[in-house]
Amino acid sequence: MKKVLFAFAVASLGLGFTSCDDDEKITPIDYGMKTFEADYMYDTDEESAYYGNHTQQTFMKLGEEEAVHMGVMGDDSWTDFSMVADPEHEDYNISTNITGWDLAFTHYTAMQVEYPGYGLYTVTASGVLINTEEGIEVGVYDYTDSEDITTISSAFADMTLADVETYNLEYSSDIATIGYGWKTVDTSVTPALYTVNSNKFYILKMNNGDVYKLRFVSFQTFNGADQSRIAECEYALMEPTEAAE
Amino acid sequence: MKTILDTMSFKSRAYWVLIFFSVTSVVFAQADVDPNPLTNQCLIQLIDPADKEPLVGAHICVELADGRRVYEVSDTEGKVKLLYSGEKVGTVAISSIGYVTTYMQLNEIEDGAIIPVKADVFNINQVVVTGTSEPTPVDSSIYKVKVIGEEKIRQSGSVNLAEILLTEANIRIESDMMLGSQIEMLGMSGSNVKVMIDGVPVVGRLNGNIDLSQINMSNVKQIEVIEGPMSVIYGSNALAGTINIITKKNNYHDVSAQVDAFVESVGRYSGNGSVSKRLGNSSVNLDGGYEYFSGVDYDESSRLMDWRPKKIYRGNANYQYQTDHLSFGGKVGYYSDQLFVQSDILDAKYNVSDSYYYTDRLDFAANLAHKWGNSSIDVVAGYNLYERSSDGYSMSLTDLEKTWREKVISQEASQFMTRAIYSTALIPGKLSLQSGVDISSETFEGPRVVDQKQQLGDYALFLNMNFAITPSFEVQPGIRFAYNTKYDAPVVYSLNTKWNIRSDLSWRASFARGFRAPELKELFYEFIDSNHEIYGNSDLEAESSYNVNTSFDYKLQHDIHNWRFNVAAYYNTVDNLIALASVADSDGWQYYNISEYQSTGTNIDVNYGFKNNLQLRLGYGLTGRQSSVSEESGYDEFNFSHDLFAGLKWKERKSSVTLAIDYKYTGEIQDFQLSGDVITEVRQEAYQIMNASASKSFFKNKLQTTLGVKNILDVTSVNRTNYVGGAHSGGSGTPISYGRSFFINLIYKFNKL
Repeated sequence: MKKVLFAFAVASLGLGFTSCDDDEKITPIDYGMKTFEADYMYDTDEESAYYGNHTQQTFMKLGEEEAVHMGVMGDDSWTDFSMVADPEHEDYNISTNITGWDLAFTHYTAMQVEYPGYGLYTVTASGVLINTEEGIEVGVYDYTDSEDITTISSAFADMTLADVETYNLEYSSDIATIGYGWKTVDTSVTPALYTVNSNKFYILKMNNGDVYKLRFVSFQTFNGADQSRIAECEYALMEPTEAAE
Repeated sequence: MKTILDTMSFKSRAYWVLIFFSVTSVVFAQADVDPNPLTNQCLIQLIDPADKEPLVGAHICVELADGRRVYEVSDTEGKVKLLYSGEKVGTVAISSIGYVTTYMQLNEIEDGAIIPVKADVFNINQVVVTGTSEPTPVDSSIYKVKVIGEEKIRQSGSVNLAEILLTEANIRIESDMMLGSQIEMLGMSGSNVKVMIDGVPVVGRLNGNIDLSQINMSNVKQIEVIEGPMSVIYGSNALAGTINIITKKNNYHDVSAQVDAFVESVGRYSGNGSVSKRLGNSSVNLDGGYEYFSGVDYDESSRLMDWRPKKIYRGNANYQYQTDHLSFGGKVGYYSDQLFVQSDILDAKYNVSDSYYYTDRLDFAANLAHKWGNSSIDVVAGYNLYERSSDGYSMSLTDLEKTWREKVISQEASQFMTRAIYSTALIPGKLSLQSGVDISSETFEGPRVVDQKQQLGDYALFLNMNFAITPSFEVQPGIRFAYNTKYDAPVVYSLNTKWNIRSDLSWRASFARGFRAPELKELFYEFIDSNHEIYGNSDLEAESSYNVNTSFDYKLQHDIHNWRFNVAAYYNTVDNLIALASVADSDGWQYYNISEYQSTGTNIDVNYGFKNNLQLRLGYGLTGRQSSVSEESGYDEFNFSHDLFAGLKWKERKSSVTLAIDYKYTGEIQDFQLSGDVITEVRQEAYQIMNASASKSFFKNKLQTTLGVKNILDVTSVNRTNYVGGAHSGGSGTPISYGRSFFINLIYKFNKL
């Protein structure tokens, strides 16, 4: 019996504790895309009036490295965007005095839902809005050939205007066409976990005829010491195809 | 053979039964001070009358006229020497697992007598303590009680409560990766099931449910499952059923110790130890354990794990003083678990965010019981703390550098409860009453609780009167008045009856009103993030319910063949059932009231025992559910699900090898959920669970070994399909188990008098 017990003990030790993380390391490929980072700033101060909100907005122009304007929630610099028509926000798809921008990375009011036992429920979101004054139109292509992140990255880098034409996308000038759908959130974990849908390729048709491809590559959800929540997108001006010329 | 059973009072009988069913070891000798040497002796032999085989390893207690107790164990020929001094006066109790406990007067026993001990094939002699002031044989209880004993727990290889309940009738267990294991009983969700450890409610509900996988089974003597309402005594939650876990106590040995080791092939290891020391009427018990689960991952291309790695530490210390008329004690318990959640790659920059979730429980409990004349008083008090917190790190797989997050407490709950029950026989044998107070105060704290802290108090008085209209027919009306700090609690009442129609046929019925105030989390929990929110709903109404239960039990014994049949039916109706629904087009969730919810069902089970070697059980359960949500969706009939269960146990007495097989078919279930204003019909497929094990004891039961296979049919998850407006709208797998696994369990017991 002693032998049995000994064997049992050895087996117990031998079977477990075998995991090793180092083999997870990945070396990414650089495709030379333009990138832009916008920090939404996540307010984790329980005493703050804006606790739990993304309190910073960033207006950017494609091709420019620096932001056109930064807004801080509760400050004059902030522009309130609401997709909901209500007395306080009569200007649906509100316009702003800020000019010269293409995309705004911002927190906004997304919709209202009638909910049983609760009443009207306002849903806010953090996403990217387009400047409707600039006549930008956006089409969305869902790349579904592979779920592998490296394959998706190379497919985006290789995508040409000729490819885009085969997709027969619908283009919209709605302010929230990009919206918040480039990330999904899992609220069953704490803190909530954001997954960036980097397989959503956005095609932006500018009013000067330029066509950009853009996708989101990162949303730093981790509230480390600085509480930043940095969205990063990569984009490129697409070369016109010969047929188009 | 004449026994003294009829001449003993019920209380002293119950006391003896309690003593002997607590006994799990085999080494006994005489006790305490020995003023008069035990010079006289009388030799007896114990046999099983069914096959005239000797009864080996039975426990014999002789209580002498001077109050001393002498313990003996029968040898391999069933023989035992009864030692006494002076006059041959005293009481002899003979007990053995699987046999009816037999009582005799010492002076009625002749030297060399052969004493037959009747087999108790279905453990009907087992005593239960839930809802009674006295330990009561399970068959005598006015409630429909099912007892899951230590032996069954061991044979099933169950480490926690969720696992042992997986093959039980009328119970469904659902596993949620974050919320743990949740129960549904008699068609009612876990928020209507009271879970207690030695009468103290377990605190820390997530979405209304206690995580049953956090309740360890290593120091458990038995689990008492009461089907039907006990809301008069136990209040909220005790509507569909009550699960009371009774822990082991040592009243006999100077020193008693146990160690066990458990290994399961999926990478699950558990070790437990306990030691108990008795000093006179006092005893001190310490027990603790560790469990490690390495997790299971079916799809290694994703970082997500199908079953997440977990570590558990737990420890308890308790003190108990025990005499015939007075007992009191206290307990401190600690539980801590750590769940590791690995995220998938989150973005195109290969960022991941891994988290550790911690649950900590700290439990204090005290008890006092005093008996005098025909009366008794029982007091249980508990103070429980529960905390859920998390930390973790983020890193990019491109450099593997970890950035740690601070530890955040997401939920803190504390509960103070006390329940005092006074019982007295006003007219012994005819009329008795049980009255008491039940006080509980719950506090819920956390950064996401509205105003950071909320409190809810419930103060109740209750009374149960038991009328034995005839010796075979008893009626027990009960009433509970409660004051709730947030709700107008209605008067809750119940009526229980038990009729022993014949000695082999009995009938039980109950009718009860129930009430459940929304829990603090349902009311006030708030979760705000940038684009999703979970709100408690402060407009929630309290649940109000009625329950009707009835059952018949029929016993049949023919020589060595024992049969037992049970047929039961129930109906529950709940107004304002509290449920969670997703908010349309967002990631938000909200609690709301379902105006009407009903569940009904019936179950039949048949048990067959051949001597006490073989036991077979077969059962069928039908559960129907209906709600106003399903009615709005056009289904105005009950959605029925079918369950089937079967079991086999074969015990070879000479080699002390036991084989056990358990099987349960859990049928397809249909459910309706509200998502915003859209009703989604959810159908979950049927699945089957089958376990088998072989156990053998060595060294006079000191070493118990069990080898087994869990989930032989290798069920991991079942499909859950959603339909909106009758059209398929997606689906997912609901996890059931980590699949087939093999386990070894070794238990070593050491006792010294």
